[in-house]
Amino acid sequence: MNGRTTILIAGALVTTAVALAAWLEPRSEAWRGRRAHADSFLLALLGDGRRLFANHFFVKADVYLHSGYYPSIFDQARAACEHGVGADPAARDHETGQGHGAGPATPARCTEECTHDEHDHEAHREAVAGGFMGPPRDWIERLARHFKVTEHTHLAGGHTEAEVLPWLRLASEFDPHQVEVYTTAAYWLADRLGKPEQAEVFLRRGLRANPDSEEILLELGRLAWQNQRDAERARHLWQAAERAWRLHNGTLNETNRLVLGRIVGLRAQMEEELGNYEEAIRYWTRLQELSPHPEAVAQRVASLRERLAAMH
Amino acid sequence: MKTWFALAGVVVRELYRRKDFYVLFVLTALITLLLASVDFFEDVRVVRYLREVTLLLIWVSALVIAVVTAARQIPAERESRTIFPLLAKPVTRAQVVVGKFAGVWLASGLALALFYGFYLLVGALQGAPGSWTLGLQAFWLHWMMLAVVVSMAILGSLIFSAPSVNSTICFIVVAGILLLAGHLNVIAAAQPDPWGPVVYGLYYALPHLELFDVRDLLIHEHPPVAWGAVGVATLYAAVYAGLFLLGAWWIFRKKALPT
Repeated sequence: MNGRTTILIAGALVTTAVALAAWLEPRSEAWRGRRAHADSFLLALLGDGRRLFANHFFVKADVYLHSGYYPSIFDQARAACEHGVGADPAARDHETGQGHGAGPATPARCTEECTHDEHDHEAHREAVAGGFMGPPRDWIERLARHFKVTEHTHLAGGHTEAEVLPWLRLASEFDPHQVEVYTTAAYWLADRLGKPEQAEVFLRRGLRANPDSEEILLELGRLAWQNQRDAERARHLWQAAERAWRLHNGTLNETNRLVLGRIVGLRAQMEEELGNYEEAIRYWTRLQELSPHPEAVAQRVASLRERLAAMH
Repeated sequence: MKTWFALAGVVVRELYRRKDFYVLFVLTALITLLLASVDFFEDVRVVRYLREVTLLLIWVSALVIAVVTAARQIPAERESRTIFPLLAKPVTRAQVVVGKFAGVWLASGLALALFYGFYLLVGALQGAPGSWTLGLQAFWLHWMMLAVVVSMAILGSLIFSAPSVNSTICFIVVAGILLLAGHLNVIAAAQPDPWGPVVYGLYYALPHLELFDVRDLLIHEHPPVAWGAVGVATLYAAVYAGLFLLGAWWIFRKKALPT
Protein backbone atom coordinates (compact mmCIF):
# COMPACT_ATOMS: atom_id res chain seq x y z
CA MET A 1 0.00 0.00 0.00
CA ASN A 2 1.61 3.23 -1.12
CA GLY A 3 1.18 6.70 0.37
CA ARG A 4 -1.49 7.76 -2.13
CA THR A 5 -3.69 4.77 -1.36
CA THR A 6 -3.31 5.40 2.40
CA ILE A 7 -4.42 9.02 1.96
CA LEU A 8 -7.38 7.96 -0.19
CA ILE A 9 -8.50 5.32 2.34
CA ALA A 10 -8.11 7.78 5.22
CA GLY A 11 -10.13 10.37 3.25
CA ALA A 12 -12.86 7.82 2.51
CA LEU A 13 -13.04 6.81 6.19
CA VAL A 14 -13.26 10.44 7.37
CA THR A 15 -16.02 11.16 4.80
CA THR A 16 -17.95 8.06 5.91
CA ALA A 17 -17.56 9.04 9.56
CA VAL A 18 -18.85 12.58 8.93
CA ALA A 19 -21.75 11.29 6.83
CA LEU A 20 -22.70 8.75 9.50
CA ALA A 21 -22.46 11.37 12.24
CA ALA A 22 -24.78 13.68 10.28
CA TRP A 23 -27.24 10.81 9.79
CA LEU A 24 -27.07 9.58 13.40
CA GLU A 25 -27.11 12.90 15.27
CA PRO A 26 -30.85 13.77 14.82
CA ARG A 27 -31.85 10.13 15.42
CA SER A 28 -29.75 9.86 18.57
CA GLU A 29 -31.85 12.53 20.27
CA ALA A 30 -34.60 9.98 20.66
CA TRP A 31 -32.50 7.47 22.58
CA ARG A 32 -30.36 10.00 24.48
CA GLY A 33 -33.45 11.41 26.17
CA ARG A 34 -32.98 14.62 28.18
CA ARG A 35 -29.23 14.39 27.83
CA ALA A 36 -29.56 15.33 24.16
CA HIS A 37 -30.71 18.79 25.20
CA ALA A 38 -28.37 19.11 28.16
CA ASP A 39 -27.37 22.67 28.86
CA SER A 40 -24.66 21.70 31.32
CA PHE A 41 -21.71 19.38 31.35
CA LEU A 42 -22.98 17.56 34.46
CA LEU A 43 -26.37 16.84 32.90
CA ALA A 44 -24.73 15.51 29.75
CA LEU A 45 -22.35 13.36 31.79
CA LEU A 46 -24.60 12.00 34.54
CA GLY A 47 -28.15 12.52 33.30
CA ASP A 48 -30.70 12.32 36.10
CA GLY A 49 -28.14 10.45 38.18
CA ARG A 50 -26.68 13.83 39.19
CA ARG A 51 -29.64 14.23 41.56
CA LEU A 52 -28.27 11.40 43.66
CA PHE A 53 -25.02 13.32 44.02
CA ALA A 54 -26.94 16.50 44.79
CA ASN A 55 -28.80 14.73 47.61
CA HIS A 56 -25.53 13.33 48.90
CA PHE A 57 -23.96 16.79 48.99
CA PHE A 58 -27.01 18.27 50.68
CA VAL A 59 -26.81 15.63 53.40
CA LYS A 60 -23.07 16.28 53.59
CA ALA A 61 -23.83 19.89 54.54
CA ASP A 62 -25.92 18.54 57.42
CA VAL A 63 -23.09 16.19 58.42
CA TYR A 64 -20.75 19.19 58.55
CA LEU A 65 -23.24 21.15 60.62
CA HIS A 66 -23.03 18.38 63.22
CA SER A 67 -19.23 18.23 62.98
CA GLY A 68 -19.31 14.72 61.58
CA TYR A 69 -21.65 13.30 64.23
CA TYR A 70 -24.18 11.69 61.93
CA PRO A 71 -25.94 8.35 61.61
CA SER A 72 -24.89 6.04 58.79
CA ILE A 73 -27.48 4.26 56.65
CA PHE A 74 -27.08 1.27 58.97
CA ASP A 75 -27.81 3.39 62.05
CA GLN A 76 -30.86 4.84 60.30
CA ALA A 77 -32.09 1.38 59.32
CA ARG A 78 -31.63 0.15 62.89
CA ALA A 79 -33.49 3.17 64.26
CA ALA A 80 -36.30 2.50 61.77
CA CYS A 81 -36.49 -1.12 62.95
CA GLU A 82 -36.41 -0.22 66.63
CA HIS A 83 -38.94 2.60 66.40
CA GLY A 84 -41.17 1.34 63.63
CA VAL A 85 -40.77 2.14 59.96
CA GLY A 86 -43.99 4.04 59.61
CA ALA A 87 -43.54 6.09 62.75
CA ASP A 88 -43.56 9.87 62.58
CA PRO A 89 -39.92 10.84 62.06
CA ALA A 90 -40.25 14.01 64.12
CA ALA A 91 -41.71 12.11 67.06
CA ARG A 92 -39.08 9.44 66.64
CA ASP A 93 -36.27 11.98 66.55
CA HIS A 94 -37.57 13.66 69.62
CA GLU A 95 -37.81 10.32 71.35
CA THR A 96 -34.19 9.45 70.60
CA GLY A 97 -33.09 12.99 71.17
CA GLN A 98 -31.46 13.23 67.73
CA GLY A 99 -33.64 15.14 65.37
CA HIS A 100 -31.05 15.23 62.64
CA GLY A 101 -31.08 11.82 61.15
CA ALA A 102 -31.51 11.81 57.45
CA GLY A 103 -34.52 12.88 55.55
CA PRO A 104 -36.29 16.09 56.08
CA ALA A 105 -33.92 17.74 58.55
CA THR A 106 -32.06 20.58 56.89
CA PRO A 107 -29.08 22.50 58.21
CA ALA A 108 -31.12 25.66 58.56
CA ARG A 109 -34.09 24.00 60.19
CA CYS A 110 -31.85 22.03 62.47
CA THR A 111 -30.06 25.12 63.72
CA GLU A 112 -33.36 26.82 64.36
CA GLU A 113 -34.43 23.83 66.42
CA CYS A 114 -31.12 23.73 68.16
CA THR A 115 -31.24 27.42 68.98
CA HIS A 116 -34.79 27.28 70.20
CA ASP A 117 -34.59 24.30 72.48
CA GLU A 118 -30.94 23.58 72.84
CA HIS A 119 -31.26 22.50 76.44
CA ASP A 120 -34.19 20.13 75.91
CA HIS A 121 -32.46 18.74 72.89
CA GLU A 122 -29.18 18.09 74.68
CA ALA A 123 -30.96 16.68 77.70
CA HIS A 124 -32.82 14.21 75.51
CA ARG A 125 -29.64 13.27 73.75
CA GLU A 126 -27.81 12.64 77.00
CA ALA A 127 -30.72 10.50 78.14
CA VAL A 128 -29.90 7.98 75.41
CA ALA A 129 -26.54 6.46 76.28
CA GLY A 130 -24.15 6.73 73.34
CA GLY A 131 -26.52 8.93 71.30
CA PHE A 132 -27.85 7.41 68.06
CA MET A 133 -25.09 4.80 68.26
CA GLY A 134 -26.47 3.35 71.47
CA PRO A 135 -24.18 1.59 73.92
CA PRO A 136 -21.32 -0.40 72.29
CA ARG A 137 -22.29 -4.01 71.59
CA ASP A 138 -18.84 -5.59 71.76
CA TRP A 139 -15.16 -4.80 72.34
CA ILE A 140 -14.51 -3.98 68.67
CA GLU A 141 -17.26 -1.37 68.68
CA ARG A 142 -16.00 -0.03 72.02
CA LEU A 143 -12.53 0.39 70.53
CA ALA A 144 -13.92 1.87 67.31
CA ARG A 145 -15.69 4.64 69.28
CA HIS A 146 -12.25 6.10 70.10
CA PHE A 147 -11.67 6.78 66.41
CA LYS A 148 -15.11 8.07 65.51
CA VAL A 149 -16.92 11.33 66.16
CA THR A 150 -19.02 10.57 69.24
CA GLU A 151 -19.55 14.11 70.46
CA HIS A 152 -22.61 16.00 69.28
CA THR A 153 -21.55 19.56 68.49
CA HIS A 154 -22.81 22.14 66.03
CA LEU A 155 -20.94 24.60 63.92
CA ALA A 156 -21.43 27.88 65.71
CA GLY A 157 -19.39 31.04 65.99
CA GLY A 158 -15.97 31.87 64.63
CA HIS A 159 -17.38 31.84 61.11
CA THR A 160 -17.38 28.02 61.18
CA GLU A 161 -20.95 27.91 59.81
CA ALA A 162 -19.48 28.75 56.40
CA GLU A 163 -18.15 25.19 56.22
CA VAL A 164 -21.56 23.94 55.03
CA LEU A 165 -21.59 26.28 52.04
CA PRO A 166 -19.30 24.40 49.61
CA TRP A 167 -21.58 21.35 49.81
CA LEU A 168 -24.71 23.42 49.25
CA ARG A 169 -23.07 25.10 46.29
CA LEU A 170 -22.07 21.72 44.87
CA ALA A 171 -25.59 20.37 45.44
CA SER A 172 -27.00 23.29 43.44
CA GLU A 173 -24.53 22.58 40.61
CA PHE A 174 -25.57 18.95 40.47
CA ASP A 175 -29.30 19.61 40.74
CA PRO A 176 -30.29 23.23 40.04
CA HIS A 177 -33.94 22.32 40.67
CA GLN A 178 -33.54 21.38 44.33
CA VAL A 179 -35.09 24.53 45.77
CA GLU A 180 -34.27 23.64 49.39
CA VAL A 181 -30.56 24.04 48.64
CA TYR A 182 -30.99 27.72 47.72
CA THR A 183 -33.18 28.58 50.68
CA THR A 184 -30.89 26.76 53.12
CA ALA A 185 -27.76 28.44 51.75
CA ALA A 186 -29.53 31.81 51.84
CA TYR A 187 -30.38 31.27 55.51
CA TRP A 188 -26.75 30.58 56.38
CA LEU A 189 -25.40 33.41 54.27
CA ALA A 190 -27.83 36.09 55.40
CA ASP A 191 -28.78 35.13 58.94
CA ARG A 192 -25.63 33.47 60.26
CA LEU A 193 -22.76 34.85 58.23
CA GLY A 194 -23.95 38.40 57.57
CA LYS A 195 -23.78 38.15 53.78
CA PRO A 196 -27.26 39.12 52.57
CA GLU A 197 -25.93 40.25 49.17
CA GLN A 198 -24.42 36.83 48.52
CA ALA A 199 -27.65 35.23 49.72
CA GLU A 200 -29.67 37.30 47.26
CA VAL A 201 -27.35 36.52 44.37
CA PHE A 202 -27.65 32.80 45.13
CA LEU A 203 -31.43 32.99 45.49
CA ARG A 204 -31.70 34.86 42.18
CA ARG A 205 -29.67 32.10 40.59
CA GLY A 206 -32.10 29.60 42.08
CA LEU A 207 -35.03 31.62 40.76
CA ARG A 208 -33.60 31.56 37.26
CA ALA A 209 -33.44 27.74 37.43
CA ASN A 210 -36.83 27.51 39.19
CA PRO A 211 -39.05 30.36 38.02
CA ASP A 212 -42.21 30.68 40.15
CA SER A 213 -40.73 28.88 43.14
CA GLU A 214 -42.76 30.15 46.08
CA GLU A 215 -40.03 29.18 48.57
CA ILE A 216 -37.35 31.21 46.78
CA LEU A 217 -39.66 34.20 46.29
CA LEU A 218 -40.57 34.00 49.96
CA GLU A 219 -36.89 34.06 50.97
CA LEU A 220 -36.14 36.92 48.59
CA GLY A 221 -38.98 38.89 50.18
CA ARG A 222 -37.67 38.10 53.65
CA LEU A 223 -34.22 39.36 52.62
CA ALA A 224 -35.71 42.51 51.10
CA TRP A 225 -37.51 43.34 54.34
CA GLN A 226 -35.19 42.04 57.05
CA ASN A 227 -31.91 43.13 55.52
CA GLN A 228 -32.74 46.05 53.25
CA ARG A 229 -35.92 47.31 54.98
CA ASP A 230 -37.44 47.63 51.51
CA ALA A 231 -41.13 47.09 52.32
CA GLU A 232 -42.43 47.73 48.82
CA ARG A 233 -40.12 45.17 47.27
CA ALA A 234 -40.88 42.65 50.00
CA ARG A 235 -44.64 43.10 49.39
CA HIS A 236 -44.21 42.47 45.65
CA LEU A 237 -42.07 39.42 46.23
CA TRP A 238 -44.47 37.91 48.76
CA GLN A 239 -47.40 38.59 46.45
CA ALA A 240 -45.51 36.78 43.70
CA ALA A 241 -44.76 33.96 46.17
CA GLU A 242 -48.45 33.63 47.03
CA ARG A 243 -49.39 33.62 43.34
CA ALA A 244 -46.82 30.88 42.73
CA TRP A 245 -48.15 28.94 45.69
CA ARG A 246 -51.69 29.11 44.29
CA LEU A 247 -50.40 28.06 40.90
CA HIS A 248 -48.77 24.94 42.31
CA ASN A 249 -51.28 24.01 45.02
CA GLY A 250 -54.95 23.55 44.26
CA THR A 251 -56.14 22.95 47.78
CA LEU A 252 -54.74 23.48 51.22
CA ASN A 253 -53.28 20.44 52.95
CA GLU A 254 -50.96 19.61 55.84
CA THR A 255 -47.87 19.67 53.60
CA ASN A 256 -48.35 22.87 51.67
CA ARG A 257 -49.92 25.01 54.41
CA LEU A 258 -46.48 25.62 55.97
CA VAL A 259 -45.17 27.72 53.07
CA LEU A 260 -48.38 29.73 52.74
CA GLY A 261 -48.39 30.22 56.49
CA ARG A 262 -44.84 31.59 56.33
CA ILE A 263 -45.72 33.98 53.49
CA VAL A 264 -48.76 35.30 55.32
CA GLY A 265 -46.98 35.39 58.68
CA LEU A 266 -44.00 37.38 57.40
CA ARG A 267 -46.32 39.83 55.67
CA ALA A 268 -48.37 40.27 58.85
CA GLN A 269 -45.24 40.83 60.89
CA MET A 270 -43.91 43.42 58.44
CA GLU A 271 -47.20 45.36 58.31
CA GLU A 272 -47.33 45.38 62.10
CA GLU A 273 -43.76 46.67 62.34
CA LEU A 274 -44.61 49.39 59.82
CA GLY A 275 -47.63 50.44 61.89
CA ASN A 276 -50.16 49.38 59.23
CA TYR A 277 -52.37 47.76 61.85
CA GLU A 278 -55.41 47.21 59.63
CA GLU A 279 -53.35 45.36 57.06
CA ALA A 280 -51.54 43.48 59.83
CA ILE A 281 -54.87 42.38 61.36
CA ARG A 282 -56.02 41.20 57.96
CA TYR A 283 -52.92 39.01 57.52
CA TRP A 284 -52.85 37.77 61.13
CA THR A 285 -56.50 36.72 60.71
CA ARG A 286 -55.57 34.79 57.60
CA LEU A 287 -52.70 33.18 59.46
CA GLN A 288 -55.12 32.07 62.15
CA GLU A 289 -56.65 29.65 59.63
CA LEU A 290 -53.25 28.30 58.65
CA SER A 291 -51.39 28.13 61.94
CA PRO A 292 -51.22 24.99 64.08
CA HIS A 293 -51.59 27.34 67.10
CA PRO A 294 -54.58 29.54 66.13
CA GLU A 295 -55.26 30.61 69.75
CA ALA A 296 -51.85 32.37 69.99
CA VAL A 297 -52.51 34.19 66.71
CA ALA A 298 -56.02 35.11 67.91
CA GLN A 299 -54.52 36.75 71.00
CA ARG A 300 -52.23 38.78 68.79
CA VAL A 301 -55.15 39.87 66.61
CA ALA A 302 -57.10 40.90 69.72
CA SER A 303 -54.15 42.93 71.05
CA LEU A 304 -53.73 44.65 67.69
CA ARG A 305 -57.45 45.49 67.55
CA GLU A 306 -57.14 47.07 71.00
CA ARG A 307 -54.14 49.09 69.88
CA LEU A 308 -56.00 50.20 66.74
CA ALA A 309 -59.08 51.21 68.79
CA ALA A 310 -56.87 53.22 71.16
CA MET A 311 -55.38 55.07 68.19
CA HIS A 312 -58.80 56.11 66.95
CA MET B 1 17.85 -8.72 60.49
CA LYS B 2 20.56 -7.58 58.07
CA THR B 3 19.00 -9.72 55.34
CA TRP B 4 15.57 -8.21 55.98
CA PHE B 5 16.98 -4.70 55.70
CA ALA B 6 18.81 -5.57 52.50
CA LEU B 7 15.62 -6.98 50.96
CA ALA B 8 13.56 -4.03 52.22
CA GLY B 9 16.11 -1.56 50.80
CA VAL B 10 15.66 -3.01 47.33
CA VAL B 11 11.88 -2.53 47.53
CA VAL B 12 12.21 1.07 48.76
CA ARG B 13 14.60 1.88 45.91
CA GLU B 14 12.13 0.28 43.49
CA LEU B 15 9.37 2.63 44.67
CA TYR B 16 11.28 5.79 43.91
CA ARG B 17 12.39 4.46 40.55
CA ARG B 18 8.83 3.71 39.49
CA LYS B 19 6.41 6.41 38.38
CA ASP B 20 3.30 5.32 40.33
CA PHE B 21 4.03 7.42 43.37
CA TYR B 22 4.91 10.58 41.43
CA VAL B 23 1.79 10.36 39.27
CA LEU B 24 -0.48 9.89 42.28
CA PHE B 25 1.22 12.63 44.26
CA VAL B 26 1.04 15.15 41.42
CA LEU B 27 -2.60 14.23 40.79
CA THR B 28 -3.47 14.67 44.48
CA ALA B 29 -1.62 17.99 44.66
CA LEU B 30 -3.20 19.23 41.44
CA ILE B 31 -6.78 18.39 42.46
CA THR B 32 -6.24 19.84 45.95
CA LEU B 33 -4.77 23.10 44.66
CA LEU B 34 -7.50 23.37 42.04
CA LEU B 35 -10.18 22.93 44.71
CA ALA B 36 -8.43 25.39 47.00
CA SER B 37 -8.74 28.01 44.29
CA VAL B 38 -12.53 27.60 43.97
CA ASP B 39 -14.46 30.57 45.32
CA PHE B 40 -17.43 29.67 47.54
CA PHE B 41 -19.43 32.82 48.20
CA GLU B 42 -16.25 34.91 48.46
CA ASP B 43 -15.28 33.10 51.63
CA VAL B 44 -11.62 32.19 51.94
CA ARG B 45 -11.86 30.71 55.43
CA VAL B 46 -13.72 27.59 54.35
CA VAL B 47 -11.28 24.67 54.68
CA ARG B 48 -13.06 21.51 55.79
CA TYR B 49 -14.24 20.44 52.34
CA LEU B 50 -10.64 20.76 51.16
CA ARG B 51 -9.41 18.60 54.03
CA GLU B 52 -12.04 15.99 53.19
CA VAL B 53 -11.12 15.79 49.51
CA THR B 54 -7.37 15.83 50.19
CA LEU B 55 -7.64 13.06 52.77
CA LEU B 56 -9.80 10.97 50.46
CA LEU B 57 -7.20 11.33 47.70
CA ILE B 58 -4.44 10.43 50.16
CA TRP B 59 -6.32 7.30 51.25
CA VAL B 60 -6.94 6.19 47.68
CA SER B 61 -3.35 6.93 46.58
CA ALA B 62 -1.78 5.19 49.59
CA LEU B 63 -3.96 2.15 49.05
CA VAL B 64 -3.04 1.96 45.36
CA ILE B 65 0.69 2.33 46.10
CA ALA B 66 0.65 -0.27 48.90
CA VAL B 67 -1.47 -2.91 47.13
CA VAL B 68 0.13 -2.61 43.69
CA THR B 69 3.68 -2.61 45.09
CA ALA B 70 3.04 -5.54 47.44
CA ALA B 71 1.15 -7.61 44.88
CA ARG B 72 4.00 -7.66 42.37
CA GLN B 73 6.96 -8.34 44.71
CA ILE B 74 7.16 -12.14 44.82
CA PRO B 75 5.58 -12.81 41.37
CA ALA B 76 8.12 -10.43 39.78
CA GLU B 77 11.01 -12.27 41.47
CA ARG B 78 9.60 -15.56 40.22
CA GLU B 79 8.98 -14.31 36.71
CA SER B 80 12.44 -12.84 36.28
CA ARG B 81 13.89 -15.90 38.04
CA THR B 82 15.86 -13.70 40.45
CA ILE B 83 14.22 -15.67 43.24
CA PHE B 84 16.75 -18.50 42.71
CA PRO B 85 19.95 -16.51 43.30
CA LEU B 86 18.11 -14.79 46.17
CA LEU B 87 17.25 -18.07 47.89
CA ALA B 88 20.75 -19.40 47.17
CA LYS B 89 22.44 -16.55 49.16
CA PRO B 90 21.35 -18.22 51.54
CA VAL B 91 18.13 -16.41 52.39
CA THR B 92 15.26 -18.37 53.89
CA ARG B 93 11.76 -18.11 52.51
CA ALA B 94 10.60 -16.58 55.78
CA GLN B 95 13.21 -13.84 55.34
CA VAL B 96 12.01 -13.18 51.80
CA VAL B 97 8.40 -12.79 52.98
CA VAL B 98 9.29 -10.56 55.94
CA GLY B 99 11.87 -8.59 53.92
CA LYS B 100 9.41 -7.91 51.12
CA PHE B 101 6.74 -6.91 53.63
CA ALA B 102 9.13 -4.59 55.49
CA GLY B 103 10.22 -3.01 52.21
CA VAL B 104 6.72 -2.33 50.92
CA TRP B 105 5.55 -1.15 54.32
CA LEU B 106 8.50 1.25 54.67
CA ALA B 107 8.08 2.49 51.11
CA SER B 108 4.35 3.07 51.74
CA GLY B 109 5.25 4.88 54.95
CA LEU B 110 7.64 7.19 53.11
CA ALA B 111 5.02 7.95 50.49
CA LEU B 112 2.41 8.46 53.20
CA ALA B 113 4.69 10.84 55.12
CA LEU B 114 5.01 12.99 52.00
CA PHE B 115 1.26 12.96 51.45
CA TYR B 116 0.53 13.95 55.07
CA GLY B 117 3.25 16.59 54.88
CA PHE B 118 1.47 18.03 51.87
CA TYR B 119 -1.85 17.87 53.73
CA LEU B 120 -0.45 19.79 56.70
CA LEU B 121 1.23 22.30 54.37
CA VAL B 122 -2.05 23.00 52.56
CA GLY B 123 -3.79 23.40 55.94
CA ALA B 124 -1.12 25.82 57.13
CA LEU B 125 -1.35 27.84 53.90
CA GLN B 126 -5.13 28.04 54.32
CA GLY B 127 -4.61 29.33 57.86
CA ALA B 128 -6.12 26.24 59.51
CA PRO B 129 -3.38 23.69 60.15
CA GLY B 130 -5.47 21.73 62.68
CA SER B 131 -4.06 19.63 65.50
CA TRP B 132 -0.51 18.35 64.84
CA THR B 133 -0.98 15.60 67.45
CA LEU B 134 -4.09 14.32 65.70
CA GLY B 135 -2.29 14.67 62.35
CA LEU B 136 0.52 12.48 63.68
CA GLN B 137 -1.97 9.95 65.06
CA ALA B 138 -3.83 9.90 61.72
CA PHE B 139 -0.56 9.21 59.90
CA TRP B 140 0.45 6.47 62.34
CA LEU B 141 -2.92 4.73 62.27
CA HIS B 142 -3.06 4.97 58.49
CA TRP B 143 0.41 3.43 58.26
CA MET B 144 -0.59 0.62 60.62
CA MET B 145 -3.65 -0.05 58.47
CA LEU B 146 -1.34 -0.27 55.46
CA ALA B 147 0.69 -2.91 57.30
CA VAL B 148 -2.40 -5.15 57.32
CA VAL B 149 -3.17 -4.37 53.67
CA VAL B 150 0.42 -4.99 52.53
CA SER B 151 0.64 -8.33 54.37
CA MET B 152 -2.76 -9.28 52.90
CA ALA B 153 -1.52 -8.46 49.37
CA ILE B 154 1.69 -10.46 49.92
CA LEU B 155 -0.40 -13.45 51.02
CA GLY B 156 -2.63 -12.91 47.97
CA SER B 157 0.40 -12.83 45.67
CA LEU B 158 1.13 -16.42 46.69
CA ILE B 159 -2.46 -17.58 46.20
CA PHE B 160 -3.66 -15.83 43.06
CA SER B 161 -2.28 -16.45 39.61
CA ALA B 162 -1.42 -12.89 38.60
CA PRO B 163 -0.64 -9.59 40.36
CA SER B 164 -3.57 -7.90 38.58
CA VAL B 165 -6.03 -10.46 39.98
CA ASN B 166 -4.53 -10.13 43.43
CA SER B 167 -4.63 -6.31 43.32
CA THR B 168 -8.26 -6.25 42.18
CA ILE B 169 -9.34 -8.70 44.88
CA CYS B 170 -7.39 -6.77 47.52
CA PHE B 171 -9.05 -3.48 46.50
CA ILE B 172 -12.50 -5.04 46.66
CA VAL B 173 -11.84 -6.69 50.04
CA VAL B 174 -10.32 -3.53 51.56
CA ALA B 175 -13.14 -1.32 50.24
CA GLY B 176 -15.71 -3.83 51.50
CA ILE B 177 -14.11 -3.93 54.95
CA LEU B 178 -13.86 -0.14 55.16
CA LEU B 179 -17.50 0.30 54.21
CA LEU B 180 -19.21 -2.64 55.86
CA ALA B 181 -17.09 -4.40 58.48
CA GLY B 182 -18.04 -2.03 61.29
CA HIS B 183 -21.74 -2.68 60.68
CA LEU B 184 -21.65 -6.46 60.37
CA ASN B 185 -22.66 -6.91 64.01
CA VAL B 186 -25.83 -4.86 63.37
CA ILE B 187 -26.53 -6.85 60.20
CA ALA B 188 -25.89 -10.13 62.07
CA ALA B 189 -28.43 -9.23 64.74
CA ALA B 190 -31.13 -8.91 62.07
CA GLN B 191 -30.33 -12.24 60.35
CA PRO B 192 -32.14 -15.50 61.08
CA ASP B 193 -30.16 -18.66 62.02
CA PRO B 194 -27.75 -19.89 60.72
CA TRP B 195 -26.81 -16.65 58.92
CA GLY B 196 -26.73 -14.54 62.07
CA PRO B 197 -23.86 -16.48 63.72
CA VAL B 198 -22.06 -16.75 60.37
CA VAL B 199 -22.12 -12.98 59.86
CA TYR B 200 -21.14 -12.47 63.50
CA GLY B 201 -18.21 -14.85 62.99
CA LEU B 202 -17.16 -12.85 59.95
CA TYR B 203 -17.40 -9.66 62.00
CA TYR B 204 -14.90 -11.00 64.53
CA ALA B 205 -12.63 -12.66 61.96
CA LEU B 206 -12.18 -9.73 59.56
CA PRO B 207 -9.51 -7.13 60.25
CA HIS B 208 -11.42 -3.95 61.08
CA LEU B 209 -9.54 -1.51 58.90
CA GLU B 210 -12.12 1.19 59.54
CA LEU B 211 -10.72 1.49 63.07
CA PHE B 212 -7.69 3.25 61.61
CA ASP B 213 -9.71 5.89 59.78
CA VAL B 214 -9.73 9.10 61.82
CA ARG B 215 -10.43 11.41 58.89
CA ASP B 216 -13.66 12.72 60.41
CA LEU B 217 -11.84 13.69 63.59
CA LEU B 218 -9.22 15.55 61.55
CA ILE B 219 -11.69 17.26 59.25
CA HIS B 220 -13.98 18.48 62.00
CA GLU B 221 -11.19 19.46 64.41
CA HIS B 222 -12.02 17.07 67.23
CA PRO B 223 -9.52 16.45 70.02
CA PRO B 224 -6.79 13.82 69.52
CA VAL B 225 -7.46 10.15 70.25
CA ALA B 226 -6.37 8.70 73.61
CA TRP B 227 -2.84 7.25 73.20
CA GLY B 228 -3.96 4.04 74.91
CA ALA B 229 -6.51 3.43 72.14
CA VAL B 230 -3.84 4.16 69.51
CA GLY B 231 -1.63 1.58 71.22
CA VAL B 232 -4.39 -1.07 71.19
CA ALA B 233 -5.11 -0.36 67.51
CA THR B 234 -1.39 -0.70 66.74
CA LEU B 235 -1.32 -4.07 68.49
CA TYR B 236 -4.48 -5.10 66.62
CA ALA B 237 -2.86 -4.25 63.27
CA ALA B 238 0.35 -6.04 64.24
CA VAL B 239 -1.59 -9.22 65.09
CA TYR B 240 -3.40 -9.26 61.74
CA ALA B 241 -0.27 -8.39 59.76
CA GLY B 242 1.54 -11.18 61.62
CA LEU B 243 -1.23 -13.66 60.83
CA PHE B 244 -1.23 -12.80 57.12
CA LEU B 245 2.58 -13.02 56.95
CA LEU B 246 2.50 -16.36 58.74
CA GLY B 247 -0.02 -17.58 56.17
CA ALA B 248 2.16 -16.24 53.35
CA TRP B 249 5.26 -17.98 54.73
CA TRP B 250 3.34 -21.23 55.20
CA ILE B 251 2.17 -21.21 51.57
CA PHE B 252 5.54 -20.00 50.22
CA ARG B 253 7.56 -22.72 51.99
CA LYS B 254 5.39 -25.41 50.38
CA LYS B 255 5.27 -23.76 46.98
CA ALA B 256 7.33 -25.32 44.23
CA LEU B 257 9.20 -22.71 42.22
CA PRO B 258 9.10 -23.19 38.43
CA THR B 259 12.55 -23.74 37.01
